[in-house]
Amino acid sequence: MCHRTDAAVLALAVRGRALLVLALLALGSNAASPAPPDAEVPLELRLKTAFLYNLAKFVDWPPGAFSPDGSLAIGIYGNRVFARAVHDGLDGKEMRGRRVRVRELERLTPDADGCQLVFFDGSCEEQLPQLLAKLSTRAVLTVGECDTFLDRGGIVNFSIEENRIRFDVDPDAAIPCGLKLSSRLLSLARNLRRPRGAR
Amino acid sequence: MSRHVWIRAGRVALLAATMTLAIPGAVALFAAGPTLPEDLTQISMEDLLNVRITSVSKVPERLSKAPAAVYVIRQEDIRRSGAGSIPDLLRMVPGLEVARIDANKWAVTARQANSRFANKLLVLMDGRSVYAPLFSGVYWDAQDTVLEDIERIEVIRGPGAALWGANAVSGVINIITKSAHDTKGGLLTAGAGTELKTQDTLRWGGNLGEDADYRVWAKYLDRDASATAAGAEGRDGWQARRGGFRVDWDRSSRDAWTFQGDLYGGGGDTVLIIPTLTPPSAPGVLSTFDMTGTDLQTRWHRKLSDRSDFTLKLYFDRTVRRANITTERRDAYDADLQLRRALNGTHELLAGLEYRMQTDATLDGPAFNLRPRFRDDPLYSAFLQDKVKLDGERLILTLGSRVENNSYSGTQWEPDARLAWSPSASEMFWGSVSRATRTPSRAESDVRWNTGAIRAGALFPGSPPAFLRLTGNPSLGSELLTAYELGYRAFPNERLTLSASVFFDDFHDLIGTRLGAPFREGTHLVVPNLTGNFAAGSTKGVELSSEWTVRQGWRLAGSYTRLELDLPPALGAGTAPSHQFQLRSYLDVSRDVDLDAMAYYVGDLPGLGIPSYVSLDLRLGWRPRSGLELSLIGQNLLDERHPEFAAASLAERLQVERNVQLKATWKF
Repeated sequence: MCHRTDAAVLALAVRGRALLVLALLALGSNAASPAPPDAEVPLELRLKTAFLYNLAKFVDWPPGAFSPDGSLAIGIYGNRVFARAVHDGLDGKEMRGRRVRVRELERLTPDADGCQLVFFDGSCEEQLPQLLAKLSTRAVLTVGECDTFLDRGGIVNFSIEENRIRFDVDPDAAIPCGLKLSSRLLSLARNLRRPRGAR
Repeated sequence: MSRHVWIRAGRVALLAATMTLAIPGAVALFAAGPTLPEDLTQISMEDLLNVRITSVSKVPERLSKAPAAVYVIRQEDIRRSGAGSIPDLLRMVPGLEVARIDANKWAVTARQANSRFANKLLVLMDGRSVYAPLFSGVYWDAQDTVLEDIERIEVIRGPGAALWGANAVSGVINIITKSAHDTKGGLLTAGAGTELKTQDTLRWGGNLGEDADYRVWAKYLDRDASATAAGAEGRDGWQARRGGFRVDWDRSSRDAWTFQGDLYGGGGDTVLIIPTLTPPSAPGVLSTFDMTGTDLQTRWHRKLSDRSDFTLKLYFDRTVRRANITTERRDAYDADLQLRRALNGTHELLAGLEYRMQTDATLDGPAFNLRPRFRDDPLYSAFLQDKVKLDGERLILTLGSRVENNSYSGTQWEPDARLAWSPSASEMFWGSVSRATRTPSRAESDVRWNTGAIRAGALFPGSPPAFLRLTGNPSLGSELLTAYELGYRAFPNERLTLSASVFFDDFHDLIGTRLGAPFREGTHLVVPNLTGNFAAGSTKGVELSSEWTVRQGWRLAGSYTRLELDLPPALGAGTAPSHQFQLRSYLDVSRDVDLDAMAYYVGDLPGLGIPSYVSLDLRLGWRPRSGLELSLIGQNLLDERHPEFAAASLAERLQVERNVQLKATWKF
């Protein structure tokens, strides 16, 4: 079990009562009368969404990692409401010449359904070893938000420290996947290959 | 399956207008500061790393699991309430009794007899106690800040003495303002109305170096006098000016510092009743009151490890209040240390030490004096609490106690035991047994107060005129409460929250009065009304509340409060409503328009001769452009005026009038 860190608490909060707000927001962006601008906007989620987008900018995938249409597919595994939020934030955006597509992953197949980036929210902690094992040699950037994520073979892990989002990176885990992480990304990471719990 | 049951239950409850509590369902994860663009993907990774997310998401998490009757007013609720003062905001809290006595006095309490000096409710602003020891209560006219900069108001009904100390007997109200990190930019509000004639605020926040932010603010308010029963203008209008600052500095990844301070001054008209020996025996005297206050506070939060941290808090608070009855200057110096440490995943320890020194100086009034005139009152206090996970998150036992020593009633223990059982992640049952104490007030200890006059010949044939004199007793003990509570809280689905609590409060050593033997003083007699721990009593009640998102953009909240007082008449029997209903609706008419309503029923107060009333507040908000909001607010719309409470001997009886107000809020 993870320690109850900020990330886990956040995940709980997100899963619990924030569902309401998130559901409203997720609906809001499609419905005729979206939530008022000053309403309770889940900044954490907006930030994480922006981080996912930014991370992808600093990663080079091997040739052949992309599907024929050339899009960059981001898969969200876990919380459905979060998946909707990321979808609404990023789907259809342009990044380095590729169209971003966001998918909610119900089940993780060994090829990650053709995703180049997969985010696992804090709720998937228990299944992480199996999930990550499937992806350890695929050209998939794995991003998580749990203390043990890097220990279990994930590449990037979010956590919250002093009310700011931080991320740790395990550059070695990216090598078998054929991913190249830019030095800029590594310089922005709080720690390299050190999970939060070990601080 | 169960979802339908819950929704149906919710509808039935609504139709019956017995809506239940809203445990703050939706976590107020935070609105972005004014400097953040709507689309965060456009800012750089470096900037993203610097965006601060408030820790607010964690606090409701904590509160939603708190084994106590907790309610949180979020900033969104504040904005949409249209309320112009903190006590008016508190009306939305299930289980609280809130009544306006006149334009500058309120009576606020929970689970108890109510009065202007309801003495069993502790109120804190950013951790600073605003409970006034002179009469044991809160001067609500002195408690205000920029309502837009309040992050949340946490209200805990029931005793909180183990954590918060003496006087947290029937409840604790924590008013928590936003961090300066979250109030960057400008805020200008201007309001004009029929009762709240003017309320203007200006706030500016910005950076002080890389890791520190500040805000400064100023506020002015002018309240119109209320009305007498006959509709004549009352003599209770008042004005107040306030200003303040707050700096939040993240000195390192482990250290966070907060510095804040406030300054206020204000005053207005009031009517005092000063008994005289010549008829009329109790004339109302038009008088004025004024108040000033200053406070300064520093908090240092240090993270020692992932499992432990401490917070050191130091503050100074000076209040000066002058009224005809007396003039009091009070200084409080407070140092408070809290340590938290998690042990092996099962135990979480919380420990605290507090020292507070209060010094006061008083002037004699025409019918009132305190002996000694000056007093220094130290308070020493320590507490320890252990939260034990008996079965993971499913069964949690919280045991704690405070021991404190004050110069009025000596040393006392305030133990507290709470058990929370969560059969699933979405529901929790809890129960508690706890003890709390209420320290005797300065007045109860030291006062000589002529509260009434007795005609010549009324005591016995040929008796001289006499004063009825409330006489303090320096050897009073604390009032003692043993409280038993049971509660239930559920989030059956993402649209519905339910909360219920029942309580039985058993009081001993309540401070009351007894007539003593008359004695002669010059040419008249004095009938002393002696103070002592004479009385016992109990209160019991049920509190139900619920919050329901009917559909996207429409939220309902409702509550029902039942309260039964079994107290001696002189200790406030009949001063609290037996039944209260409340229904609130928050409707997003369109992206830029909201329509909000609050209807409430407050039962009669037989002890004061106040009839029951139903009141309706409406607010129409329109945002014509980003950053600008215009609100049209109507309060007490159903009648021209009605009485909500009656002051004791202090003032004439006044009624609360309808208020129509226009307010503009501009963020820049």
